[in-house]
Amino acid sequence: MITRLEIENFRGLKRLTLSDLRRVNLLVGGNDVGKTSVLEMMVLLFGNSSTVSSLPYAFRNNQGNGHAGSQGDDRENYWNWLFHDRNSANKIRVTATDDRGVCHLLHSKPTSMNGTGSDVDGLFRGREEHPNDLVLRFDPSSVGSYCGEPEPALKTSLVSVRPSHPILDAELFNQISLERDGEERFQGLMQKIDGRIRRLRYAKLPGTSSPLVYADLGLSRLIPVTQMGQAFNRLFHIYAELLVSRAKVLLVDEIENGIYYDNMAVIWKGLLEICAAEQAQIFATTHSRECVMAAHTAESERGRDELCVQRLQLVKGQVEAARLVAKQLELAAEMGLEVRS
Amino acid sequence: MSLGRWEKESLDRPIASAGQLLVEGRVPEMFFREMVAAYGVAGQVEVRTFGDVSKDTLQTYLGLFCQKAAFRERVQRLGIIRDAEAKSASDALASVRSAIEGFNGENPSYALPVPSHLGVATGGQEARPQVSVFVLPDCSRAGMLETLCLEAVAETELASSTPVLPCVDEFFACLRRQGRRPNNDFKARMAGYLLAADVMDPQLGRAAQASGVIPWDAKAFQPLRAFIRGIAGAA
Repeated sequence: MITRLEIENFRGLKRLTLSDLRRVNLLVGGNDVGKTSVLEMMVLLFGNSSTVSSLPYAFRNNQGNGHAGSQGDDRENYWNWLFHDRNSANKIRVTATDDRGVCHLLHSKPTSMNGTGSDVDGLFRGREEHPNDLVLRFDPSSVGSYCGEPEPALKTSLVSVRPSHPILDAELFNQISLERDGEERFQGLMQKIDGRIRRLRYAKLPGTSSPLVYADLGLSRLIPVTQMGQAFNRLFHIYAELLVSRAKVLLVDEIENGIYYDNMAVIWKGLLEICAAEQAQIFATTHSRECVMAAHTAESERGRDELCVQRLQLVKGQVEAARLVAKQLELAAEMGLEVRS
Repeated sequence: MSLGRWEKESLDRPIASAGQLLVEGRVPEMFFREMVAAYGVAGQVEVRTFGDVSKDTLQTYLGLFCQKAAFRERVQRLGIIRDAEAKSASDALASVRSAIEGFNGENPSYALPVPSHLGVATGGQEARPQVSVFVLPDCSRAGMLETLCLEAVAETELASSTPVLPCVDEFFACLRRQGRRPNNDFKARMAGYLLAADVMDPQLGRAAQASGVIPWDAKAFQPLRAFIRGIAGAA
């Protein structure tokens, strides 16, 4: 579990330290303050080539409108901006320290450009002081050389604000169903979101091209979960990723998206339980005070001290992190105080 | 541990000045706001209540207040004023130091300098924010805000042809003869003075708002005045 992050020259973050991180880490703060950048940095640090290469559209939009854009588009409008102020002279340096004291590093440094004998900037990661696992090569002339093939350091799953893929979610559910008590456990979690659910079923109906998950709500027919709300599908995806993909790091952008405020505490309770059981760690962003307070309430009920709330804020043009400890959150909840600014 | 409506308001209020003065309660907040205005530094010092005098309350308040972006951007001098109560001023300073150290332990990247002496700002000019503590009445004796106000009032009474404090003292002496004694002699004597001075609301904060009731230029206030001007950056 990562307990400390030190970030230099990554996107808009000149220098930022996030300390005392816990199992569930909630980043709050105003727009464009760097919350999503922290998630992207985690992908570069721990993701595989698939999640790394999806970065231009994973949490943001690009000219591919949610898919890979042209190499030139993504290079110019995304990859080059990984460097602070779009200047590769600002060397990226990230240190993530885990609870065993191991440092995971992400550094930019020159690397040779294939076949030319000249150097370009590369982004490397590893567990040593001089990491040599190439993640990206910033090669201005060779289209397609941006993504290396890094071995995933930790199994990492991304949840963006876009709807998840219902067919992939159905396959995840199908895998859950094959595990002993998996289906019951998953249904139990989803029933906390929607008490009408009697059961969930993986099926491919005649006349359709792909399987989906269908929910028994007590209607005359089972309803495809794609017809249920955004929150339901979002939570379905998050729970499935944790239970099936065995993700060790779950990165969720705007976790409150589409979720009714009254459900927040139940959702957090479920997430805290699953993360503890699966030994997973969540980094999530939010703009919602209710979301922060619900996470705090759920954590207080569990009493495990597994929640870390960090507020990112601009101070004199630089982003800083302010950690909100439990008693401050308690007071904020009690008095209706604002914690986001 | 809980903060009330006034502490919430004081946290929600925008931070605009380089000087911030934290005091323990709504009445002191009202009083010191008037004092700051009387000394001509209202534009440089904002007064806020952090709630009751306990270490935990101050520590939690600091956690919410001093981590605000506006605090980080604008505040250069932070003053904390509290009563000594029945203990010594050094005990009160130790309590404030403990609250600051507790805050620093929880929020190391936002750590505040810890004052080691009463009435003296921490660090040099480069240390931001500077932190200083004043323990009422005078950074040495036991007592409270009312103790100091009574001393200031007593100065003006010396020059008065119709002093009212003797009447107030006689009133309480009469009560004592009847076996009755107020819970807090200083607060009761001050309230008695304010009533005798025809201030309709004997609460000190309200009285401070009435013109001419509190003698802001009294010698008794001079150390406090110097402290507040220091918070304003005008010392």
